[in-house]
This record gives sequence, structure tokens and C-alpha cells, in this order.
Amino acid sequence: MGDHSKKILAMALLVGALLAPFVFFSTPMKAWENPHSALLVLQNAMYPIERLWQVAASGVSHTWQRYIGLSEAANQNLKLRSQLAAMQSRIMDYDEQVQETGRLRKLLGFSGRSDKRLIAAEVIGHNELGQFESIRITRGSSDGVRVGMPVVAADGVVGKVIRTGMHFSDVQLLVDHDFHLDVLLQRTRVRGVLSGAAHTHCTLQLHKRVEIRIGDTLITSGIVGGFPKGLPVGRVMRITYETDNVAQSVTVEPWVDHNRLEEVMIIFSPDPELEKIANAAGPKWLDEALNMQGR
Amino acid sequence: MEQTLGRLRTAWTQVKPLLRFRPVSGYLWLDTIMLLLVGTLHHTLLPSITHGVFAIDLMTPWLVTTLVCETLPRGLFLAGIGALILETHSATPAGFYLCTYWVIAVAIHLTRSTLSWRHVMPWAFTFGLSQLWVVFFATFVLAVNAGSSIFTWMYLRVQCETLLTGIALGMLFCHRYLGAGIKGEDG
Repeated sequence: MGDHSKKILAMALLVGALLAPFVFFSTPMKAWENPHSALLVLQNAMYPIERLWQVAASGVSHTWQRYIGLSEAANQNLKLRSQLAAMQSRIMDYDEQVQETGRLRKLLGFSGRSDKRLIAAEVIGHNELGQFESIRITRGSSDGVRVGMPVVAADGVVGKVIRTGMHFSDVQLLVDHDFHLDVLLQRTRVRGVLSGAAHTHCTLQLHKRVEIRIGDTLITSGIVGGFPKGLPVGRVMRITYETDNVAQSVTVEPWVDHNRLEEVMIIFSPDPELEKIANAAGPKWLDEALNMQGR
Repeated sequence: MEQTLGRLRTAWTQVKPLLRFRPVSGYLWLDTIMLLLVGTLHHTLLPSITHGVFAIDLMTPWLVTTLVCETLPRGLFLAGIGALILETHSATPAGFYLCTYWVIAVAIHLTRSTLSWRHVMPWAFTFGLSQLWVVFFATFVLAVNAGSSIFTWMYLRVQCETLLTGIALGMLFCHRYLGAGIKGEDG
């Protein structure tokens, strides 16, 4: 290649490098979704290795916990027995209250909670860098998982599905900066939109007159996003007042520790209205609608 | 029996150099497989070791080493695959790593003939600046999307860790070029 051609190439590369960020910022800035088949090939090529790693790692961990680390288990057993006795008496009280609530709901004509199917999945990967938070789980489109489906764990809300492969899905975590969730303050029933704030916490903007205390619990409102009402989300860690003297900024710590997640549940929340339309317009329409919901 | 063992030994001596875990092997297919392996380690082994306590970026130093040592088309191909691995495993906006690594690839291509890769400093600066660019660009994207609420001490700590571990890992990957230089570098 001659000197002149080298100069032109260098100039073209330089112009390309300078323009690249502008091109990037002109895009919708959303994560990759399903229709890109070339990307799915790349993802599916890596999945067997990730699955193998997950099986091997969980095998070692289970062997240690079940056969080698038993002295700790004996101590835990004693503690759990005493806790169990205390919990049993509380459960009896709760049973009574649940029955009472059911009777009252019936009297008031409230509709019962819709039937939601749960499907368990194991976590096989975690995006580590703390800027864009997501995990990979072992259920995909072949199990009926769709973009936008809510994902929860025993402690509370985990996130929502943003991408599915045949046998895996990627879940955007609650703490990701692009995640927004409609929530209720459990004590005062005030509504707000919770936003991820990267790595360990979320933020919530409320009017300064809203009464809120450190330690208050947030639950899902069940209004948008497919999450059922009443799922625990997190607790209030810090309250700061904005300089505009109108709002207060609430820092929320999620109940779920995303770095130690091993199993999660995907909620299949059938919407009767959507199903009626899907029956009329075909199953593809439903996919597109759920994809839109995911955006 | 001895003949078979002898053949196996010969085959092993031929295959052994290919199995070394390094960014540049001279074979594009092997580099691609190694890159897939790095991507898998990045999303499986590292999180299970660090449990989110410590942030490590394995991909950027690996790709920077590749971009310094390989030709531009090969480097761009591998950087593209690396970027897509990261993007399709996370909630990162589509094109984020493609754009970031494209800029790094061009910068390295335009400057690498002016630097001597036998010495530690050019490598350390290249790894440091590349990692700094990734951190800066990610921070800018987050600031555009989420505002200033993300800028906490925890965020700053994570970025510093990423920067330092990136340089450390990079120095590990480029170890074989220190003293010897890269292919095509004038003696």
C-alpha cells in the first residue's frame, strides 16, 4: 500500500472513530433484543460452556455443603429447630388472619388474585462490571419465556426478561439504571416509580410532603410491568431533600442480593384481554406486543 | 504399543503450543475460540469468585493486546466479536461496546508504529488509557440515561478497581512481548 493510500485510510479511520459516538447516541440506546439471528448464534455458541460451568460449580458447592461442611449444618439445625417452634405459633395466627381477609374480600366483592404460573430457573451468569446490570438464567423461549416477563426470588423482585435464547434468557436487574418499577410504600400506601441507580441500590423521587421513614418497605403496586401486587422490593436506606425544595430523593436497598442469586422464578402472568386478541390475530402478534412491553 | 505412544507424544508436542491461554496465537480460529472462552470466564468464573465485591474487566485488556499485535482487519473482527459477547450478555445499550472498541482499535492502529512495545510503559499506558476510555464512555452513557444519581462513592470505587485490574491483567497478557517486541517491529 502506498503512502498516499495509507494516509487516506488513516484519515477515514480517524473520521470513523470521531463519528462513532455520535452514531451510537443517535440510536434508541436499548439492549439487543431477539430478532437479530446472528447474535443469537453467538449466544447459543457460548451457552453450552456456561451451562457446563454452572453444573460443575453447583456440583462442587452441593458436595461441600451436603457432605463436607456438616458441622456448620448441625449448629444451623439446632437454631432452626428453635426458630421453627416460634414460627409455628405465628403461622397459626396468620392462618386465622388469611381466612378472615378472604371472608372480608368476598364480602366487599373484591376479585381474587389471578392465577399465575411460576417457573424456576438457575442463574448461570452475571454481568460483573457494575454499569449495566443483568444476569443469565437457564430458561428460554422453548420454555415459554418472553421478553418483559417479571422475574422474582424468595426475597423479592429481581428484574425482568430483556432477551431470550432457545434455552436461556437475560434478565435486566432491578438496580440497572434503565429499570423502572411502579411501587407502593407498604406503610403509607403512597405510589411512586422506582429507578435503578447502578450496582447496589435504587432511587425513588417523592414529593417532600410524603411521609416516609428509614426502614420503610416498598412493595410492587401491581399496576404496570406485569409484577403482581405486594411483592417485596426493598427498604428505605436514606432520604435526602432536593435543592428545589419540592422533592425528596429516597435511596432504596433491594431485598434481593443480586450478587448471590442462584435460583429465580419467572412469573407467567396471562392477561385475558391479550389472549383474546392473540386468538384473533395469531400468536406472533402477542410476541410483538410483549416485546414492545419489554421496551 | 510404543509406536502409538510415540505418535501420541508427537501429536501432543504439536498441539501443546496451541493450548496456551493467550490473546494472539497466529491462528484466527484459535483466537476466536479463546475469545469465546474469555467471554464465558468473564460471565461465569469471575462473578462466582468475586461475588460482586470486586470488579474485573477481562475482555478489554485481552482485546487491547490483540489489537496491538494483530493486523487491523483481524483485530477489528475479534474486537467486534468481543463487543457482541459483552453486549449480548448484559443490559448494555446495543452498540455501546462496538463503538468503544472501534475507537480503541483505530487509536491503537494509528499510534502503534510510533511506540516501542519492548518496554513496559507503552503497554501500561495503552491498557490504562483504553480502560479509562471504556469507563469514561460508560459513565457518560449512564449520565445521559439516568442523571447524576448514579455517581456514588461505590460507583467511583468500582470504576477505579476496573481500571487498576485492567492494567494488571493487561500486563499479564503482554508479558511475552516485553523485551522481544511485537511482530514487524523494527529491531
